[in-house]
Amino acid sequence: MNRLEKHVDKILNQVQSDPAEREEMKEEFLAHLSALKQQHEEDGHSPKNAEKKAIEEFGDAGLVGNGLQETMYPYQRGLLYVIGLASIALGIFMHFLFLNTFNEPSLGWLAIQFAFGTLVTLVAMNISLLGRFYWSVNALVFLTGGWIGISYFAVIQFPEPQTYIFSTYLAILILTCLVFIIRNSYYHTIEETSDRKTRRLKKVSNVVNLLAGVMICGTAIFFIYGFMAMIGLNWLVLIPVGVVVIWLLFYKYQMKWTARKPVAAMIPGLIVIVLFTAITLTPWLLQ
Amino acid sequence: MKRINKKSLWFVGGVILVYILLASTGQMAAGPTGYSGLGFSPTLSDDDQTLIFPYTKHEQSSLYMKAMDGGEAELLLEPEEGYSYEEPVFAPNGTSFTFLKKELVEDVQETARVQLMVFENGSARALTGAQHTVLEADFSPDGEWIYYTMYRDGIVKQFEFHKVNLATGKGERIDHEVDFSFGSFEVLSGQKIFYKNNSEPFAFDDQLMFADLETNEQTPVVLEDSYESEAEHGPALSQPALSPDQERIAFSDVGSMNNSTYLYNIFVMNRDGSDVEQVTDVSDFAGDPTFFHKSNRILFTRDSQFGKSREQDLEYWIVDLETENMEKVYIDMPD
Repeated sequence: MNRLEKHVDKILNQVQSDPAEREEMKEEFLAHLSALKQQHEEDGHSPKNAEKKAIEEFGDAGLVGNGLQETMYPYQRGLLYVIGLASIALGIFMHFLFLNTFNEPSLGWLAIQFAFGTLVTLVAMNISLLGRFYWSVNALVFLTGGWIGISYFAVIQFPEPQTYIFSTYLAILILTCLVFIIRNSYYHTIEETSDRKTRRLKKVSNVVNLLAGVMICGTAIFFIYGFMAMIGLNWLVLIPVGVVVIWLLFYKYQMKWTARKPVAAMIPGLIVIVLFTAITLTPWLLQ
Repeated sequence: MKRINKKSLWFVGGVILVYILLASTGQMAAGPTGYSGLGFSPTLSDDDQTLIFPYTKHEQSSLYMKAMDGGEAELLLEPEEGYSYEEPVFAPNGTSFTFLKKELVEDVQETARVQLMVFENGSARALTGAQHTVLEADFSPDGEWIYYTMYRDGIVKQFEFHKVNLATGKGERIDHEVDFSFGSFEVLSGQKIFYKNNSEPFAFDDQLMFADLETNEQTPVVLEDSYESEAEHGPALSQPALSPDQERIAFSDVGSMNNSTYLYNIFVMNRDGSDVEQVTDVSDFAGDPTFFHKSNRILFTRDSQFGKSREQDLEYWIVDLETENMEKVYIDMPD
């Protein structure tokens, strides 16, 4: 591999594109760099010097790569960093609160919190390697959000001022996770089209499907907590855990479906939202 | 082929290091856990002179005795590691008392046995098997029997009602059908009992009940129509207690609300559910009422931190039913 190829690879290491798109960009960049090199050779520079000058003119690999990533997938990498590092920070803050409130640390909880935060940050750091696995990244961020949701049941045991502060922190973090997932699914599904109306439909479809997922998995998390609190660790916990797993698998299919038929793909999500709304509102309406 | 970059490895190493640091310093900084202070369900002797109460130190309760006219509390029984002594009940003649010996596994109750402590002997003996979870116990009015409710083998669905003879040690199961379970029971003379009938979970249909154990006849206490509890699902009717003459019932219920927090107070009514009257006025939690035998007063437990803090802080109080004056029972604990 020559110097120009190495430089292009460094640039592409900052971008989450899939292999086909990457190959296309690589060819384009190499052609551009080769033209620059040739121009410098014609100006009397040695081939080695011309290569160096071409690379300098093309720009720093980190800057160009980051710029490219931000242009093609705006804020996605930044959001991952925010989610990952904020999760780790949450772990540290809550560790001291556990100590302060209950006089003992919760090391298991801290380990899981750190694991999720670290994994999400690692994805951000290795976006070119991992970013193209859209569903896997979405599933990781969704589970991180779910775990942060479970943390709410710990937060409500803290004294009131801390409960309010940390509930707000958790809410913002969960919202950030959801925003990331919607945007990530959107970028995944718009690859094949540039039509404005279809883009909007896909955006709506992604929002509807994720909202339905949040409702299903939120209820599942509530039951997980309920089972754990009432009867401890029991095989019954596997039922709501299974629901989360099934939804995540279905979501993988839904992401593909949304790319092809956004209207049809949002029908299951709409049914779930209507059902949940009806179940929630019925007791109030009957009163 | 692309690989995870070196920065990632440094980052993972850093996170692991922070975790180890937090875990080790956290373990060192950890102190004794759980609530320390007075416990629920104190018991008053029939002459109103002596109080036996649980005192909890980090989730483990010992039993203490105190003269009601003053003086320092005296340690009666201290459990071995992993057990907690709670819910003492004085015998009618005051020569003994029962309590529950609860086994704790990581601060969670696993089983509970009824123990009898005779003051003369100075030691306690178990009256029930170690595998069951006894919920409550009470003496028969003649003091010859102990009645108790339990979950067989600790299984909630297997709610049972039993009695055991103190002279012979022989026990028998009492066949008394209820919807789900009952609590706060008191054994009355003539094979009758009073209790709070607990409905199925989330049915919110608990009722106070007088029952005849021979005929299985149940007579519910119907609260007067004008009484309206502030509790969302109807009156809480918590920890009901019958007066010594069996003519009045005291219970704890939501009397008012502060923002969205329930404020519990003690209410007294006639045994037929009429003339419900709030007799305490606290802005936190008042529960666990016990009638005095020789005066028109009620002993109750108050959580002064209820709704204000996650940590409870229990105190014993007395309310005079004639003047409705409340006074705190000061407990001078031994060092």
